[in-house]
This record gives sequence, structure tokens and C-alpha cells, in this order.
Amino acid sequence: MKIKIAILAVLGIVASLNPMFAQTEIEKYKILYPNQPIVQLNSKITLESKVDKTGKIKISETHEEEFIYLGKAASSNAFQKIYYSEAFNTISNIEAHSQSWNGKKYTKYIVGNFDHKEEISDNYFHDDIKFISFRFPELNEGSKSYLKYTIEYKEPYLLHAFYLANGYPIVKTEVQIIENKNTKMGFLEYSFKDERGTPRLSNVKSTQKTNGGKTIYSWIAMNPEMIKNEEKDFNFKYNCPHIIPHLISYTYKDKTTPVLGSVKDLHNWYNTLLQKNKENESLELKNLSDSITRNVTDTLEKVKKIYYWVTKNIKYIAFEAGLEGFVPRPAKDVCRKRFGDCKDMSNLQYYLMKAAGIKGHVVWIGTRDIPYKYSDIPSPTIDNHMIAAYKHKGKYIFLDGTASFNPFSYPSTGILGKEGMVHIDSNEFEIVPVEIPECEKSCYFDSLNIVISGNRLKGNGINLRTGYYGYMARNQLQFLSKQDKKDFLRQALEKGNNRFLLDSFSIVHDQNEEMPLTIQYQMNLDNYIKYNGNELYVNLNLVKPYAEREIDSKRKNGIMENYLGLAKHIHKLTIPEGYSLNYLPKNHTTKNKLFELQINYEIKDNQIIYTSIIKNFTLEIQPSDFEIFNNAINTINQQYNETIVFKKNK
Amino acid sequence: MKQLFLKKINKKSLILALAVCSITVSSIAQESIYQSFIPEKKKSYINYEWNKKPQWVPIEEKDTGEESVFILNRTIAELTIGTNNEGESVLKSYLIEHSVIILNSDKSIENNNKIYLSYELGKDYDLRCRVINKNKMITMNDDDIKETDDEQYGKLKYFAIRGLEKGSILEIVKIQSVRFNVNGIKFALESKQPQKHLHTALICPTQIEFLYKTYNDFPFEIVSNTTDKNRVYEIEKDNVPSAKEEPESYEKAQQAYIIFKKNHDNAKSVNKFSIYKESSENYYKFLCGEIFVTSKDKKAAKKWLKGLKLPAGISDIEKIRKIEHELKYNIKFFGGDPKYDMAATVYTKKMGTQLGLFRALLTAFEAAEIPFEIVLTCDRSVHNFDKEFESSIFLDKELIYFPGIKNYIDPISKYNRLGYFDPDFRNNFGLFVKSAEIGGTQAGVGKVKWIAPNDYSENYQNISVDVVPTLNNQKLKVNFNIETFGHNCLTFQQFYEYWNEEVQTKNKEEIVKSLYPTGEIEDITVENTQPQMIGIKPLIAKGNVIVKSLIEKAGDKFLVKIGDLIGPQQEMYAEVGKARKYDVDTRFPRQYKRSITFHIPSGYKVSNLDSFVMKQELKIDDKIICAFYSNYKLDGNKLILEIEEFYKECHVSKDFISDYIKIVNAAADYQKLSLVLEAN
Repeated sequence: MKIKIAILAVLGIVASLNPMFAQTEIEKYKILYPNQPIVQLNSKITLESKVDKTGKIKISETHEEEFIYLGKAASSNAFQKIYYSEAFNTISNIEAHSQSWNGKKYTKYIVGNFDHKEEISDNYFHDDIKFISFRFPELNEGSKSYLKYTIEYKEPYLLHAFYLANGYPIVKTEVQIIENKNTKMGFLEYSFKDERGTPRLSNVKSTQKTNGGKTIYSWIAMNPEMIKNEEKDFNFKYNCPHIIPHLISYTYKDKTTPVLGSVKDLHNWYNTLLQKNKENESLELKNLSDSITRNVTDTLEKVKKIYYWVTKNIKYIAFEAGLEGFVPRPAKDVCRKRFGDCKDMSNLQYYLMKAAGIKGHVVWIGTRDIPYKYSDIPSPTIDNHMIAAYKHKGKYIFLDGTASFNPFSYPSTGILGKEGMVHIDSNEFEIVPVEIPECEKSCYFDSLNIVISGNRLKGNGINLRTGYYGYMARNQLQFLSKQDKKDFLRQALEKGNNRFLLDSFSIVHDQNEEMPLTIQYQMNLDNYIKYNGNELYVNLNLVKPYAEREIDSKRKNGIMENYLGLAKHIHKLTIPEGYSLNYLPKNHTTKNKLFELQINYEIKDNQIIYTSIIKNFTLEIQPSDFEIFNNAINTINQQYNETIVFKKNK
Repeated sequence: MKQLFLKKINKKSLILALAVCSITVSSIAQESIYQSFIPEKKKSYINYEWNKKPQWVPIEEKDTGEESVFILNRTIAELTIGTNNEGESVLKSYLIEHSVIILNSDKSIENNNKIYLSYELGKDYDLRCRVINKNKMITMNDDDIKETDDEQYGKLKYFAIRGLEKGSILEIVKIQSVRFNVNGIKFALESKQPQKHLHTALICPTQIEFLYKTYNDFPFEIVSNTTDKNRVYEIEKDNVPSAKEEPESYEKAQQAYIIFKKNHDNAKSVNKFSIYKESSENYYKFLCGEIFVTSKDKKAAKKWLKGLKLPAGISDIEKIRKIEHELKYNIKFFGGDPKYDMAATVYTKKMGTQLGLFRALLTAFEAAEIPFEIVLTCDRSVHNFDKEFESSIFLDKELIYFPGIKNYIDPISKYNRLGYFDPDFRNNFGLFVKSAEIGGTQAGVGKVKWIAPNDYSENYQNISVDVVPTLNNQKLKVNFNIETFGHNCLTFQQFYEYWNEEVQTKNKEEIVKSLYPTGEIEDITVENTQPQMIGIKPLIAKGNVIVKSLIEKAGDKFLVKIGDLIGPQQEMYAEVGKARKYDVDTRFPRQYKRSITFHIPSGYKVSNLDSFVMKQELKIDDKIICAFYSNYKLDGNKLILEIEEFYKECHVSKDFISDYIKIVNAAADYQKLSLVLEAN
């Protein structure tokens, strides 16, 4: 009740619990949050750590939440689920009720049935995620729902993060972290400011109070801005203010047990998980390693062979049930089964290298979905991936077994710019940044010789892709039938418009990452040439990769690119017989901190040679960069619309 | 006796286990390199075994371009006389599937390396799986199996297949007890993969006889054999090529398949057994009969109807719309108790099952004295209704037909409305069941009739734009009015009010963005977004958008890519000149009208207007079936471009494919037209 009064006070509503008041309350929220079908009135999460009488650490987390439903489709929110990991959590003390609004008054309905269920995961082949499902009865427009439950943590290393905003409006959200005198908690406040340093929460109050041996860290935020999902945006962790707790240590009978007080503690825990897997080596694995590295003397070449073998032969199937999600399966089993997940593949690479007499490493790492660094917080929440590594001439080469067709020595795109925890041995590790290969390391090169035939363009082309360009294309091609490949390449190589047809094509090196993926093709593009009296028009900007990239002025979130690359298009047009060049567009260069684009026209013999070069310099386009980006796009679009004019000879 | 019910699911999309069976006979497969994988044919397959020592073989040179190849695709439906727990003789039925497949691509490995099986509680199945590689054979065992009780799919067993690599041969045997509907067993015989050996059979006790009919080009011989113990119908064929895929086609419905049904008649039968007659009576009883729709339900219907306060004198169509909307809009689907199947519960509690909703609709229409018929039909993308060869397989979807207004509703979908539901259940025949008095009681009487699709004028999009160019900054200011009606805006009208503001805005803008991807929307309003507007008023989007990138500079002239203002168009350029195997099938007839008013900047003229005059028609029996027309007129400095495109039929014979493609491509060609603006 106190909470409710607090909310009403905030909203400036005169408290009066009669039907008229209730109606007013609903209308008020509709005015405050127009067109929002759901508003969270209150969210409170309380995490408490303590040590029980037997010396065991106990961590529990109580969730309490209340919603009001303002849309006509309120009943579509009736079915709710509380997800949890069966291995790491238990759910207890569930209380739930709805307050159904019939237009005149509220009627309370207690939820009585809670079903424990499970479902096949979209992301993992096998996991231990369960859920408790229940139904809020009689949810109509204006109704409310209330839910309270407690999560008990069986594993103190795996605490959840608390998000202070969501995709719907929240009136009030509160987080409390309570440490008792014999526990010590730490936490990270993340995304409280945007990339310019502007606070994301306009109304947040954080306090720390110590009372009776308890220290309570508390955050209360009013009306946090809603989180918006946008295409190609960063993971919501980058944009949503949140708090990540971690247990530093606990004490029992004067003995302090460290948990996650430092990165060293984190490595220690990872190491204990790694040590749970003991049966890695076998004769079969040794034979496999020998056969992969047969006739190879150079160590680096052996590592490369092992990496390619694993990426090509081990199919990704993820098991995430309990500690199974952290402990690699034995390498010998993985090589026999021919499937595994990231940790299985990293471990297999390690043991294949070991069998070949090579010192490799397993590496814990977070993909780019995760923004944190090890210096931010010592917590497994930093990592969601495992790879292998090999140190060559003082630099680590990262080997992601899940990245089929990723060229050797290129880190997989998902970890670019991140930090990895390289396992040296049980006591040692290194935190190593993953370098981002410069744009010249990934090239897209397309050269086309074309002639005009009536109103058609015809020509022969060659398309070469190296680095990440080759990786992406090979990955797409491997899943296509012959006909689908033709359809795919027709789109991928399209010039001019969708009248572009491939007369024939051949693909070379689609299985060999060490060579440029090469596509030779013959094309025709009907109805592209425009005649007007004695003039002929042809726009040689046959490919306009930046034409549709203007960023919506309403966009809020930054844009994440996959990798840096250089794309070069050369179109050599033979001047049509009987015509002379009448207008040739000027050369153009646009360059800023984000990318560079050059368009050049050159006349050589009886050909016009069009060259366009694009280089992108950043993986992250921040909102503060949008203006620069859009100004450049506007300029580029004008250049894309420059058309060559030929005039008929008299 | 153990029983099983197996399904194979691919992640969340449930794919029913291959319901393919075949029948054959004659010669055993000829001796081939694949012989070690092909167990001999048997009299009964219930205790079927795979061969003990299969010999790995590489893929044949001619098949190296294939993703995978069936060495064996054997499907047997077997009916046999068994005994139940009480010792009584009962008919038992089994589905036996044996597939041996060479995996020749990463895609085929990814598609085949996980198996999901659903099974009913307390029932069992027999599943065997092994991988044969060049140097070793790996047989899956119980340790590989994991179990879950999935909320959506029920109890599932699933496992990842060990040892798969490119060139592996994957062999799976599934034997499951299933309940066949003997009035309709379908076996599809074509596959995306080539089949080295196809074997399909239906086996039944001698006292049962099946009738069958084959569909489409059917290059298979059917052989039937009868012994004193059983009767066998078989198809067996080597080297069946892979089925073709074509755009704009319902391939499954046009590929080879066979349907069996039990012959209920014998030499002494006086009246021929009719599945359609029986079904008419049974469906009627189940949906309207006194046992299931009681006087209490009827009374509740009248009371509920009275509560609607329908104005006096409103037409039947208005009544139908109101009844449908009120029931569907307010119902919350909920089950678990037979009472939720009853019409009265739906009226009073606003809760019920799909069956409850169906009954509530029918009972309400009856109370409102609106004549209706129950229609049973099938999905034409899978097979077309057969009016001659009666089978229950054609009766898997229910509709309600109103003869007074010649229109239909889908009685179990909460979000569909009169005339607008999955269009694959139209343009097909159906069994129309109406009430008739027989022997003093009401009973269902059926007749096969045509379910016409929506008229093309009931699914349209009309775009009207007024375009003012500014040449110096190469922008077009476009005032738009987009009216969309019928299926083209169904999702929008069904769900708009369920979306939050962000999604509403996004989807509103998507109407414009789908036409002008780079457009910068200045303002937009939408009208008629409610579900009550479905089939009554068009969704209207109005506003202004700035479109860049459509003005090219060619020396001192400008090329305005005005064709782009009709938005991206479907195209079939790559299909020109190709031999066509299947007829054209699309979802529904439709019509598009576009009007572009272009304000020619002062001091300029347009020099290529003739290219905006286009005409393509497809005529069948002198009737224009589909067409694309475009023209222009000049009114001072206003250039008005008019375009009309329509498809009156959603099925067009492949004989007319060439003209059909010309029409589709005409719209795509128009989209690429540019105006040439030059100074006066």
C-alpha cells in the first residue's frame, strides 16, 4: 500500500480509493503514457547475501512487480512465465493476483495454479531452462497484475543483472543489494551514461545505509526512458542502465572464502570448471592430430590445419544444462561425435595442438553483445564464449572453432575489439585485447568489362573477396544448392537493377579460406540504357552500397558494423560505336572519420573506366556521429545520380 | 502392445514425420551399389530390421551437385488384426519409415544432425539410427537421448546424431503405431532429393480392400497382390529424380501423390458407401446436433443476441459481421474442461475452446435466423479437393458459408473476419453441409460445390501520389494517399490495436517505407485500422514523404526515376524462356492502381512520354485474366501517369506462363522508367 501511495503522490493524484478515483487513475496513466498498452507501476528487486549456520553462502533475490494494462488487448498478457535455470536457481514464495477492472470497480483474483514446465530452446540444443507458467485471471482494459517471487541462487558465481528500464514505461523501479556482516558484495553500475557522458536516468537516487550489521545499497529510478530496439543496434546492455552484482567473499568462523573479488578469482573459478573435464586424450585423438598435421613441419601451419579441420568438421550443437554450459566435453568425445559447442571446440583445438606437440590455450571471452571489460567487474557475466589461441611471435592468434570459413589469423567477427582471458595454466592467465583487422585486410573487388548493345549492358566480370568478405560469402554459399547459388549470386552481384541476369558463373576457392573467393561471371542488364533523341544515357554507378544508408533522424541507438573492409568496383565501358562522349561526371571523394568513398572516371583508349573505392574505419557508429554520416550520404547520393551522356556522331 | 506417435520437429517449427508411403511391387530393386542398404521386402514390416552390414559408398559422380541423396526411402503403412487388453480382435496400424540418405553438404548435415520425437505418455516407439562412414559405423543408443516436456510440443525425446561428416550415410528406421484414418491415407512420392530407391506400400488384412487414386504426373506403377493373409499395394521405383521448385507455384499439390481409402462396399452393397454423406451427417451432429448443442445453449444464444441490441432492420451481412466480431473479439481461448466446448460457456464466460467458438457462432446464427452451411475443405497448396474420389483427407478445414450473401467465415480463428481468412482454403471445391429435415429430425446433408476465391476487386492497393520535384537538391516531395483493402492489409487491421505505440508507428511508416525505402516521412496518418473494418473499409495511409535519390543528372538534363514511385515490384525476369512444370498458383486475386501526378518544373519539358504507355494482357477464352496497363496525360504542367494491374485468377495454367510472366515483368519494367527533363 505504501508503494501505491508513493506512486500516486508522484503522479499528483488525490488519493481516494473509490470507483471514481480508480477511473481517474486509469485515465491519468493513459494521459501520462499515451498509446502504451502496458505500464509497470512498480518494480522492486532485493538481493540479499548471508551465511547460514552451517557456513554455506545463501543468496536470494526477491522480485515484486505491478503492472497496469491500458490497452484493449489486456487479456493477451494473462499468461506469464518465470524462467529459471534448474541447476542454478530455485523459485519459491510465488504470490500473484490480478485486479480486474469492470469499468466500475476492481475485483481481486488470486492466482492459484502454477505449472512447472519446460520448452525447447531456440538457442541451445539442450539446456536446463525451465519456467513456471500461470495465468492472471480476468485481465481487462484498466486491470492490474501483481507478482512476487523469490529466486534462490545455488551458484554464487552466477548472479543476474538488474535492469532499470525496459521496452515499456516504468513508473518506479527499485533495486536493493543487501550484504550482511559476514558477506561482502560488489556491483557495477553500467550504461548509466550515454557515449557523450549524458546521464540516461533523469531521476535516480542511489543510497548506501548500514544498519544492524547490514549494508543496503539502494537505487530508485522514476520514469526511466524506454529502451528501443533498432535494426543493427548494439545489444540493449549498451543502452539500458543496469546494475551487476557480484559476491566478493563471505566469512564463516573467521575464515574468509573469496568468490569474485578479482579477475584472478574469476580465473580460479573458470579453472576449477576446466579441471572437471579430465578424459580428453585418446589414441584416436592423437591419430587425428597426426593425420591433420601430416607432412607439415612448420608449427604455425600445423595450428592452421587444426583450426580449419575443427571449423569444417565439428558442427555446432550447444549444450547448456547447468555446469554443462561451462565445462567443455572431453576432446576425444567431441572429435568422435563430430559436434559440440564453442567450449568443446576450443578444448578440442587445445588437445589437438597438444597432441601435435604445440602449446595452445583456451580463452574465455565475451562477444560484442557484451560491453564489459575485465577491469569493470570480475564476473562471468563478461563472458559468453570460448575460443582457443596460439601465441606466435609474441602475439596471440585467436581460433574460434565455431566460425566456419573464417580465415586463419582473423579473429571471428563477433569478438572484434573485445578482451579475452587466455588460460596459461591453473594459476596464470592473461587478459588480451582482440585486435580489429584494418579495412585493407578484408577486400571486396569487382571488375566488370561492359559494352552497350541496344538498350542492354553486357559484360564479363570477376569478383574477388578476401578476409571477412570471403568468410561471409563462403558461409552463405555452403548452404545453397546449385540453383540457389545462382539466385544468390544474381542478387549479390546485381548491377543497375533487378533486370540484372547472370548468363553464367563459376566459383573458385569456395572451400579454401587461404585464397580469395573468386567468382567469374557473364552478365546482362536489359533496358538499362536510356535513349533520348540523339543522346544516350548510362549511369556507371551500377552498385550503390551507401545509397540507402541514411540514418533515420529519429534513431536513438548506435549502429554496430560487423567488420572493417575495403570495397572496390571497376566498370570499364566501351564507348558505343557511332557515339561520342558528351558529359562525364566529375571525380569525387568523401572522407570522414567513419568511412571514405572515392568515385573516379577515366577515359582510356575507347573505354570509360569507372572506379569506386569505399573504406570503412569503424565498427561503431555512435549517435553523435549520425550527422557526419548523413551529410556524407547526401553528398554521395548526388554522385551516385551522375549519369554519363553520349551523343550520336553526325 | 506398445504404441507410438512420432513427430519430427525442426526447432520450433513442427514438421510432421514424413507422411509418405508408397506401394509397389513387381520387381525387387535391381542389383546396385546401394544393395547393402536395402533390406528385402517382407510380408510384414512391424518387426522390420535394417541390414546388418551396410557397405559405405561414395556419392555418384552425377550426384555431386546434390545436397543429399536418398539411397532408400521406404514408407510402409501396415494394418493388421491384433488383440487389445481384453483379448478382443482389433485393427492395429503402423507406420514404418526407413530412410538411408547420403549427406553431401554442410547444409544437409546441419539439417539432419538433430532429431526430435514427440510421443504420447505411456506409449512407445521403435527408433534406430546409425551413421555409416567410410571407415566406421556409429549406432546411436539410449545414452544419446534427452527428454523434455515441451509446453508447445508435449513430451519430446531428442538427440544429436554423432559422427556426421560430409559423405556420411545416415540411416534411420522408425516404427510407430499410429491411428490411420482409413478413409484417407496419402503418400507423397516426390522429394527435393533424388531417390535411388523408392518403396512405398500399404499392407492390410485380406478382408480389407482399399481403393486408390493417383494425382498429377504419376510415373509410378502400382502393383497389388493378395495372399490368403494380406493384401499389398506397392510402388517401387529406382532413380526417381529430385522434384523441381518453381516460383509462384504450389508444388506439393502438383507433384505425384496417391490417396487410398477403404472400400466399404462389397458385391452385396445396395447403397454405395459415401464418405461425404457420412461426414456431412457426423459433422452436423457434432456441431449442431441436440447432444452437443442443447436447449440451454440455444437459450443462452438468444439471450446473448438480445444483449447485442442489434438495430431493427439491419441486413443479414451486418448481423453476421456483428455476431462474428463480438464472439471472436471477446473470447479468450481456454480449455481443459468439456464445458469450454459448449456454446453457452462462450456466451456467458467469454471463454472457450475453438470448438466452443465454432458452436457458439453456429448457434448464434441459427438464433438470428441466418441461413448457413458448414463447409469442409482442404488446403489447396497441399492438394486439391476431389469431388469424385471421396476421401476424408479433403475434409480437414471447416468454414461457415452464408448462401444469402455468398460469403464465408473461418469459425475457429479469433482474428479473421467475414471473407478474409487463409485464402488457400478458397479457389477449391468443398463439401457444403446444410440442415435438412429427415424423418422428423434435423440432419446434415452435403453437396460438393465450388468455393470461389475473393473477387480481385476485394484485394486491392490504390496509390495516389502528387509529386513536386526540386531539381537543385535532387529531391521529390511526395504527397501520398495509399488505400489498401482485403488481404493486403489484413494483418494491420487485425493487430493494430494490440501493438504499442512504437510498433504502431513502425508499422505505419512501413507502409511508406515498403514503397520508398529511402523516403524521409514528414507526416503520416492512418485510418480504418480496427478489425471491424476488415473487408468493409480500406486501410488508408496519407501524408508526405521526401524521396531522394530519384533524380539523376545527365549533363544539362535530369532523369527523374518516376517509375520508382510505384515501389519495388515482383519480377520473374529469370523465368523468361524457361520450361515450366507447374501451373501458377498465388494466394488470392488482386488489383493494383497507381496514379502519379508529377509537377513539371517551369522551364522544363518531358521528352520521352511514349515510353510510359504499356499494355500487357493474358486472355483465356477471350476473357482478360490478368493485365498491366499504363498511360499518361498532360494537363498544363501536370503530368498524370495512370497504371492498372490486376490478376483476376489465382490459378493460371502453365500453358499461359509466357504471357503471365510478361505481365509480372511489365510492372517491374515500369518501375525502372525515368522521365527525361530538358530545358524548353
